[in-house]
Amino acid sequence: MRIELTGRQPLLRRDIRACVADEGWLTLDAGRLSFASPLDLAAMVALAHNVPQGTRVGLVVPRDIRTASYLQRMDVLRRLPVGTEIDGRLPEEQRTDCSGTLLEVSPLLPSTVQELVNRVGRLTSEQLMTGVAGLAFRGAGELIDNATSHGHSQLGAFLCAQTYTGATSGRVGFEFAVCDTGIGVLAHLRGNPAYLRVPDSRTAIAWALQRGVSGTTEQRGNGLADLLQFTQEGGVGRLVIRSGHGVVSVAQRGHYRRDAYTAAATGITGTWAWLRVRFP
Amino acid sequence: MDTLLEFAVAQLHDGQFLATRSKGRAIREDLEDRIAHQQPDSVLIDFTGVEAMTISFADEFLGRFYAARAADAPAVLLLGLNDENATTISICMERRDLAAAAIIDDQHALLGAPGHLIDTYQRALTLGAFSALDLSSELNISPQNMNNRLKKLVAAGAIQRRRVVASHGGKEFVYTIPSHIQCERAL
Repeated sequence: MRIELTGRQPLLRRDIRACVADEGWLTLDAGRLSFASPLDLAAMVALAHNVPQGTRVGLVVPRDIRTASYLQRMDVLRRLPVGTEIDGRLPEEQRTDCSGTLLEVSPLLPSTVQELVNRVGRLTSEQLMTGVAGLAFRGAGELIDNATSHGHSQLGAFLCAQTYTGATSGRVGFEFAVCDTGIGVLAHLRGNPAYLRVPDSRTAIAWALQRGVSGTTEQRGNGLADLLQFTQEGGVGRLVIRSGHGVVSVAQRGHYRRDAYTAAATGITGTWAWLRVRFP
Repeated sequence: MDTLLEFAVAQLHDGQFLATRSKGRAIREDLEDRIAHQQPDSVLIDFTGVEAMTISFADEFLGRFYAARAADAPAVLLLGLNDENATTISICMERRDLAAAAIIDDQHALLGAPGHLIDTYQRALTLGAFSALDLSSELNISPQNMNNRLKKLVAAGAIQRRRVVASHGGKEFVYTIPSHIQCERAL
């Protein structure tokens, strides 16, 4: 299979461009990639790890030198499976310490989860104002909790984050993504007999965003609904969740909220979540 | 003298930022183990150094902890909460129809509780020791209504209840503010 990663933020679009080619291979063709979000980065690594046994993995390096540098800086190449074939020229790496603004693609495992929670906490507290920092952390924290508790698998999950100082855009922001390789939202939700008849992933994600809906029979299931609380502080946010063939996008500004529920032609294994918040 | 268990979350559990239910479960189990081992009269849960927590974490740690409390369990007081963490815990408690006693900015607070329960708690703090009848007269509500409120305050670990022989020979409950709360008041 060949996945074409073209243009800007290709894995945030509804349809992933995948074609049956390169038998026995998964090729991530980023040759024409011009801009990658944290979700693109984490999802590329999750896709590369989540292949059938015996499948080889290849990466076509972006021709755009800045994008190639970004992939390298964010540890995409480092986190790809051992033996991944790299096609293209990599720029010479000049790594500076950006731990105050970046969280490179990192494997989310039981052994690394607290360290990563602390990294996300420091990113938000150092870059965002008091008040909104806590809200941004809580949003990312709920997604980390979902990935570790519902999205558990042997392969684990991958996360990535970045803060924006607002120097160019004028708006301080935070972007976070976590991509797990677990059972997905539909199968998880069906674990609760009350949701056994949920027909598809799109509907399952829509349900999961409702307050009090859980794949367990316990009194919980508010995590995703709580996630958009940053808008209390005047923030503007967008949440995208992809699982199976379902893709749900929620955009919120103050009390105004717009949800879009779609079904994608190409499904994924596990759940991908991306949260972006911007503050005035 | 009452025995006191002090449980400093950040120090004991690398807890500057707290996000996951699994972390909440681990901390709750540690606290429950310590309570079972030491059998204290009162517990102080100190959140000093905890910068932020998710509602899921708070629910797994405190929501479940309070929900499982027996009537004779030790009194509990939360300390060291910043504004955001106090809000997070309030949301979590409110969803479970529970309450938690806390000191916020040197003031007594009852997180997650409705207004009438907070009023009852504030009045109880001024009395120190009282019967349901005393407090129902003070607040001008029925004894039955007051019993319901006091039951919730006992469940919150905010006050303690003990059975005594009444002056007329029967048995009745006397409610007291736990000594560690009185100490915090003195501070």
